[in-house]
Amino acid sequence: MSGAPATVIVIDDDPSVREAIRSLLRSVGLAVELFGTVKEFVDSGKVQGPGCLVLDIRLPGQSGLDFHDELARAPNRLPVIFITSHGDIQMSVRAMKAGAVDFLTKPFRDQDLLDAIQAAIQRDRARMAEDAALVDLRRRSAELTTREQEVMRHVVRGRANKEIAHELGVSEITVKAHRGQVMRKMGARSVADLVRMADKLETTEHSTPGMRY
Amino acid sequence: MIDAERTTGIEPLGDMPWGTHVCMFYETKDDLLYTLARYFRAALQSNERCVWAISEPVAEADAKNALSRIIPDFEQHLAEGTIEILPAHEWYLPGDRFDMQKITRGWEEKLAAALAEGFDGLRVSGNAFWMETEHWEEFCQYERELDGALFGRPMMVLCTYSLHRSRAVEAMDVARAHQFTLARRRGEWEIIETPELRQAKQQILKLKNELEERVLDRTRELVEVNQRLRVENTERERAEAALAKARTELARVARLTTMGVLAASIAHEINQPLAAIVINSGAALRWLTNEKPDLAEVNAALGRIALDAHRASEVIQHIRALVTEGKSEHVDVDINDAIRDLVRLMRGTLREHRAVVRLALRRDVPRVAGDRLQLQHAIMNLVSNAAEAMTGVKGRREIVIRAATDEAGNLLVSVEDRGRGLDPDSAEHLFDPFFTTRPEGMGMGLAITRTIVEAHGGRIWASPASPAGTVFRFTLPAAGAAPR
Repeated sequence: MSGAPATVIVIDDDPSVREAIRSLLRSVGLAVELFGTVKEFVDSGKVQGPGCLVLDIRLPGQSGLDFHDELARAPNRLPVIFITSHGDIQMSVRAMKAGAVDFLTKPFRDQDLLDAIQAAIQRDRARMAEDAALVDLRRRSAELTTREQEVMRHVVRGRANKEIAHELGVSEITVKAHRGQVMRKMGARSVADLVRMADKLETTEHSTPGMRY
Repeated sequence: MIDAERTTGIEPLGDMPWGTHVCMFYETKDDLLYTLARYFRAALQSNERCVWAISEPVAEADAKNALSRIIPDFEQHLAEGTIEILPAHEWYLPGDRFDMQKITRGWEEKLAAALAEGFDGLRVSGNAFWMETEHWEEFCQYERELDGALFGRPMMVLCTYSLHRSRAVEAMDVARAHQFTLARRRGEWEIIETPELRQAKQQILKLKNELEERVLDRTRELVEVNQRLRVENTERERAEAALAKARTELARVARLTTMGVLAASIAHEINQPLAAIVINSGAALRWLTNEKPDLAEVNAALGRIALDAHRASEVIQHIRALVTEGKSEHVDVDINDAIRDLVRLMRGTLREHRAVVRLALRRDVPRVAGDRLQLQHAIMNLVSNAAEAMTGVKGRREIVIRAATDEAGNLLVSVEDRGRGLDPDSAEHLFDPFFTTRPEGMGMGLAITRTIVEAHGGRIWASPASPAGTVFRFTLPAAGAAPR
């Protein structure tokens, strides 16, 4: 584990269950935030990662599953572990399809909850690292000049310097110079590396890394 | 005493009614005396006046001898005129003239005198001596008329004929003129009936048989009706037993459905504290076995475990109360308490529908006599119904349960929702079994509720709520009050 300490967010309307979970998680050194309803959690604005959500399915107001559906539609979602006292197959299928890390039926073994939480936190850290890498990539990409960006587009499509020079109406030497700049600014070790970066930038073009509830 | 049977003293005749007109053929004088002595003895023993018109071969001395031999106080009877012995010739043919009307009148006078003196009637015997006389035909007519005249009078006549002196033609005439024809021959009796009598007897027999048949038919009908009634009675008893059984069954099913509907809620209510206990015990162990054990945390976790265990046991106590009070016994029910318990058990269902319950229970409501579980079931159906009616409703899904007293002093409970409300068509059939507006509904809830409310002497109805939704109200008579 690396980086900032993880926080587990518990949303359950039963205070004694909430208290018990808090005690259990603190005993293994996890930070915990407790909420009785989804609304309380959303209103608190506490969505600093890394961490995960422990969510009771049946909650007053908005239900855990409905909330999870909303989370699923948002990018970079916080991993969710569902807990319920009415475990039924239909519900668990829906929860897992929506990307839940786990679905635990009360009463569950404390170790099962801890395992699920560890898995969720790992997933969140991985995602955060990915997010950070993407942010870095975009920052580098933003440092490229318009001409360098053009050259990069051609390079990642596998064009030779000569072709690019002809296309852009510049000398081959100029292309070579731009290409060197691109590799340096992007921190790419090889053309293959650059291709991967370009890919990443393209596929995440419309997403906003780090956005949280 | 006209209808009463008289003892004739003549063995083959036995008892005969007044109006009997018998002829007897005799062979010997002894046959005649034997018969007549017994005939008159029976009369004297039955308070009858006796007249014996004698003729050959019986002399007055013969008659008196024969009578006194078997009648101990004969002399006294003779002296008092209870029995009169007179010569037949003088009675029937005074001056050798046969005057039928005079003779008839004579008998009537004697009968009237006898009745006036307190006798029951008149018993007569006359010995026919005129077989050889020229008055035979007139006499035969007299006998026939006498036969008719005797009808309805307290009088009995025995005419005696000598067999030796009668010719066949005469015997036939005689027999035809009498109701019975007897013959005594050397101590032996013979009895000959007239065809009319036989016919009459047969007619009577036929009527009697018909009557008996009718009686039998009627009896059979009565027996059948009786049988039918008994069968109907048995069927009614069976139907009543079946009805009682069905009621018990309904109560049982109602209890089971209550438990079934509540099962999910109950599971939730028990699983919550159990989950907390398991997690707390895990936490406590970890606080203990950590590198730096934190006893304060262990202590706190154990304290929470104890609380949660109590909480679980409370839930179980509620369920036990639900089941044991489910025996359809009518007890004093505190409806507010019953409603609070019910709502507590329905938390899961309500949460699922995202409905909240607001209780407005007046403290001074009357207690009701009833089955606590059934009443809870009735209210539960209304609450479930209210929650379902608000599916898809934006905003606060509130159910208001009220308990109050109506103007007649009855308990009034209402369950109000903010749902879609009733359409007029549905309102009419709301409480019908199997009526439902929901595709997944069974349509039994409100029907069961109505059955329960009515079984408790109450009434249920629904009306639109303001500004939206429906309100179901029911009344229950206060405990101790007669149901309305």
